Amino acid sequence: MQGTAADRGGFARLWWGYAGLGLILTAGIIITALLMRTPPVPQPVAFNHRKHTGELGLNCEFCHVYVKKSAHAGLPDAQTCTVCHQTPQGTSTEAARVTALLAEGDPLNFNKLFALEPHVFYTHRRHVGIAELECRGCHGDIAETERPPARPLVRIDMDFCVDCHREQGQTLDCNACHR
Amino acid sequence: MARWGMVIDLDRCTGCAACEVACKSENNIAPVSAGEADMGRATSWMKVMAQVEGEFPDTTMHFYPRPCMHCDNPPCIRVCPVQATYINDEGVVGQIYSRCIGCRYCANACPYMVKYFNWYGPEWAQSERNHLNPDVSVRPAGVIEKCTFCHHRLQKAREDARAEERELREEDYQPACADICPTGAIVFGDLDDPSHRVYSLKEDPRALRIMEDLGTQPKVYYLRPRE
Amino acid sequence: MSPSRRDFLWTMGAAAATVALKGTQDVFWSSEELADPGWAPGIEDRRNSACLICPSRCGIRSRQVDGRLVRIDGNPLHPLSRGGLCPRGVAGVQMLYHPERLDAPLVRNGPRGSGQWERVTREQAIARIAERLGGLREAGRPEALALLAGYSAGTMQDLWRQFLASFGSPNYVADEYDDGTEAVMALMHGIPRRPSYDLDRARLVLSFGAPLFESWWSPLQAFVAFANPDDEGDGGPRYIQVDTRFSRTAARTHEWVGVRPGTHAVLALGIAYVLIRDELFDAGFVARHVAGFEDFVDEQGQPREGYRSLVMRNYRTEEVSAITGVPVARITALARAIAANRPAVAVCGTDVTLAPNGLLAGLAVHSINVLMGSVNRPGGVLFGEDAPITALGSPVLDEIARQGVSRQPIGVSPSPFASGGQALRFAEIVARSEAPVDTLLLYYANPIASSTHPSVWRETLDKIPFLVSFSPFLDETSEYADVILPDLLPYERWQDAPAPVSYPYPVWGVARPLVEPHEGATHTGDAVLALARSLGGSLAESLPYESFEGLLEERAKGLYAVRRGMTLGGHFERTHHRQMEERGWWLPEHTGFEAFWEELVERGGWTDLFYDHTDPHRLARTDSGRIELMPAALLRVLDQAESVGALYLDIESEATGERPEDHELRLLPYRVSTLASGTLALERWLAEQPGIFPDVLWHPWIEVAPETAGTLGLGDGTDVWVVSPRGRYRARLKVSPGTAPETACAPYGLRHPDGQIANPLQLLDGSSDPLTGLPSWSSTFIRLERA
Repeated sequence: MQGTAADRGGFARLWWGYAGLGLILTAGIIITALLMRTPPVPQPVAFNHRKHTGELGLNCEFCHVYVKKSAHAGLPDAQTCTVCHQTPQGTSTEAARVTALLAEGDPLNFNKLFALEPHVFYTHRRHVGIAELECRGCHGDIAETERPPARPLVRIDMDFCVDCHREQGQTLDCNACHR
Repeated sequence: MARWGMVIDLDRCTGCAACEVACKSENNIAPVSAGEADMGRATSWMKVMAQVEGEFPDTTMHFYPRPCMHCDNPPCIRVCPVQATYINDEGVVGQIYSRCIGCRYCANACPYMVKYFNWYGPEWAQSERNHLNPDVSVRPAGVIEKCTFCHHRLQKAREDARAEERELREEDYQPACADICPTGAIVFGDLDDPSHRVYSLKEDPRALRIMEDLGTQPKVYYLRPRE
Repeated sequence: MSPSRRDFLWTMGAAAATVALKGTQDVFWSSEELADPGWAPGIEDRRNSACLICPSRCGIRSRQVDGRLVRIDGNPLHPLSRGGLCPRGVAGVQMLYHPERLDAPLVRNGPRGSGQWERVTREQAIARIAERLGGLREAGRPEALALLAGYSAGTMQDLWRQFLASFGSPNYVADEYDDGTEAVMALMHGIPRRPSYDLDRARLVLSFGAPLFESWWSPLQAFVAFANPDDEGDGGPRYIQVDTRFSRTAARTHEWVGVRPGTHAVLALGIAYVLIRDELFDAGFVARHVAGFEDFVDEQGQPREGYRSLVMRNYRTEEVSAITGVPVARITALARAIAANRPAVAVCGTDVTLAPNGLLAGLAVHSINVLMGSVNRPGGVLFGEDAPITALGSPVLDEIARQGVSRQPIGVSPSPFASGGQALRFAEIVARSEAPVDTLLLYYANPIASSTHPSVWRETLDKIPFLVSFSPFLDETSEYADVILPDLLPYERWQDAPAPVSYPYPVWGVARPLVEPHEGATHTGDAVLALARSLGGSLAESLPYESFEGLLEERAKGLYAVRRGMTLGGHFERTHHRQMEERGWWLPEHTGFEAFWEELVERGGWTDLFYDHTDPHRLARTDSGRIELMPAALLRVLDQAESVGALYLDIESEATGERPEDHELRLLPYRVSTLASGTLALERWLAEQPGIFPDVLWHPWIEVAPETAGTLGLGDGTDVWVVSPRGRYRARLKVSPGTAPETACAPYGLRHPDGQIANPLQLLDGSSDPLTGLPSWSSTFIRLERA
């Protein structure tokens, strides 16, 4: 046997090498995860769901008009807001801003928060119109929010759908959602 | 449980190819360039084949519209390593694009050559995207695609029937090819339901299935020409 | 240990991160492919309308999602198409959203053909045209305006005629496909109208070269009759196709009779011979309603042979067999089949009539219908009528217009019985500077691509100072234009869509906008009305309509007032109405015109499915009141012009011009069912499927028999030049066992993938039928060279 010092030196180099590699990989994973995180969804005004659905008692369909009829629930446009906000409502600064924006002719393009992958075919009509599921089941406490959340409150992935389908005894056929 | 199938009357088919184009329009099938077409890469889930026999002036020709046979014993699903292609409870052979890894084993296993591989992503001009059917995926490069019996139409028909609180009727669910056929050569329905036309047509003495001896048990029947 | 391993690991890590990053973005598809990636609610709408792509004008039903047209299906209420549709109709969505459509009016901004354009507004373009036209009228020469009108439907045709007349131009130049049968009917029946065929009720359909299932007037009419006969007792009607080309129609019909090129009419008279010899014809009908069957004395007091003697003397089955190549036994069997399956109807196609002696051949073919009494009877040849819409009224003519329209139209036919080939004569005259044309309007006409003589047309266009095109696409002819005012596409505009004359019943389909009209395009009908308003005077008085839509509504008032017919309806309603009308009943179903019009548009049109078989005016309107087998007017012309030929004798189509020695293949051009004639842009789905057989994608092809290919040493799929003394074009050779030896079948209407036209008509020998002026399609010989 000879050159143990050299062996030790080699082991140290190897150890440092692996540690460095581990660091690089960890950093890579963290950066990747950050980059892959869905970007925050901006909205034109800070819509207060709680105010509208709770205190004012509007039902979801008032703004999401197609929720029982079509694939997508639909988002309100300036015309919907105009119904009440053409004249100043309440005391909040945001409500005043809405009235001002409407007066300017701003289209108030709301952005979709809960989006499915494009290869998933889901219809609100089937789930809300026919099966009469509650909105809360998939959208969580969106009705309780006071400011628009930047990201979906519920992570809707395939497990989420399949778990519910299993519980409810509904189809598990791949074709039912992928086509 | 329904068992969906098709009966094609070869005596009525005039080879006009309305079914082919209707299928392409319904299912967002992207055309390929002439060069790609020369390499046999044009996609046609429903394809009208012609079989010619004899020479002038004693020639005969028959047209065979060929969709996916939706075999009860499909060879394609046995070779798929990721279960991207499978047969569902109603006998429809599905292709799940998001699972497909593009190995093309199934395309090689299919004796009817109904599976198509996407060598490139679809090329649609911006304006052309307007006519894409929102009910059906636009397939990316690297996956296999094939006829689905317009399965999305079944889902819509079911939704409609449930919304109207009635049973699903035969005419509610027809694939695009059967819907458009100007001579009514393509008949579609539940092979197990005596009230559907296909139920009795499949028992017609003229009925045959292509390459039945392979044991694939296709659910597309042909009524052979009388003469 | 070594740098290489570190490098390797580092590279792997980076690659893994890249894949993970890209994974969700590219490998799984991005939703941007769809026009609305999950934004729009997906609101669907279905509307009935009419297809305007070909003369069949079938009923369509659209599917719109959020205002975009995603599918075109058939309208089940339409009596002609009954829910079916052809591939061209289905592919219409690709025309509507074609990337090459013009998105603004253009004014030329450089030398002609340089491709330099300036985008202008609709108003500017119309003002520009109006200025030029106004100048012509001020100069007192309105006849210097001409319109080249290609395929155009219904009211657009009437509107153009009204416009030209009140402007003062006699030059409505039709550049339309014509099959020459109108002249046949005018001579025999005294009814100048193309025949209608009651295919629904015929027991036997004998087609002489008519491409019933491909590019006939209405393939859908033939499809529906073939598949859904009204009585389904004994397996439906029998279809027999007499054709040189083994076409898709020949393949599908129950029997194909392959004849030598140009001998269809000879076979027809061979059949007539057997019918007469074996007394299988309808002697009672002939005795009551037909003149010229027996020998007779003509106007000059000369004794003449009648039809019977001519046929019996010249068309013995052995002789016919020798000419046509059809065995004697088969000829006899055909005649017996006709007699056994009545009503039987003979359909005369363009392979017969587009020949140097096409009129005589057409008369010979139609004589079978006369012999069998298959005229004005269920299942025979009928004389339908147009839908009784309100007429536009006589144009108001001021002094300038009166002088203008009194002039001779340019290129009017010297042929005695039809005005075929007017467009080409117009071009030749203008090219020779014999008639000064200042302004030419191009409406769905693209002669550079579709004409038999594109070089003449190029000269013609050079001689015309001002060219206006209304084409939605920048086609070959529009490239020469000075102003392009692109029309709306069929799914964006109001347009009436009358069924073709081949259908026995009047159907007035209405096409309506299914999607928001493109901002850069203008309904040509509205443009014409705007021009008339802007020119004022007699033009504005003759065309006092706000919009084309309003004009259509105005015309529908005629249908409301006529107290018969129905808005389109299902099988039960159709049967109910027909049976009521047969008994002389009709009940008003609408509270007023508004309700009627609303329902008419909603359902896609109006129809009247009652045909009066007892009306003698639908049998013959000749002086004698009989069907003339030996029409005196024709005999007079034939007597004077020796070279034309003799009735029932010279009916074979042969090469007329000089035939170079090595040109051995007879060129048989035919129209491909899935493709237009070159006036509209290429739809990619159709380019992928021009014909089922031969299975060629994208490329123009030419079909020859296996032995021909063998002799030439050319294999299937070889690129060849198709050469005639007049020119050549490139095509792909397709070996097709059904093709007759010594012929080459060439599809017409195809383009190369790069958009270049491959037009077999440009090789034609230029001969035409002197009696009708129609070009001959079947008398040209070509050779093939390896390209």
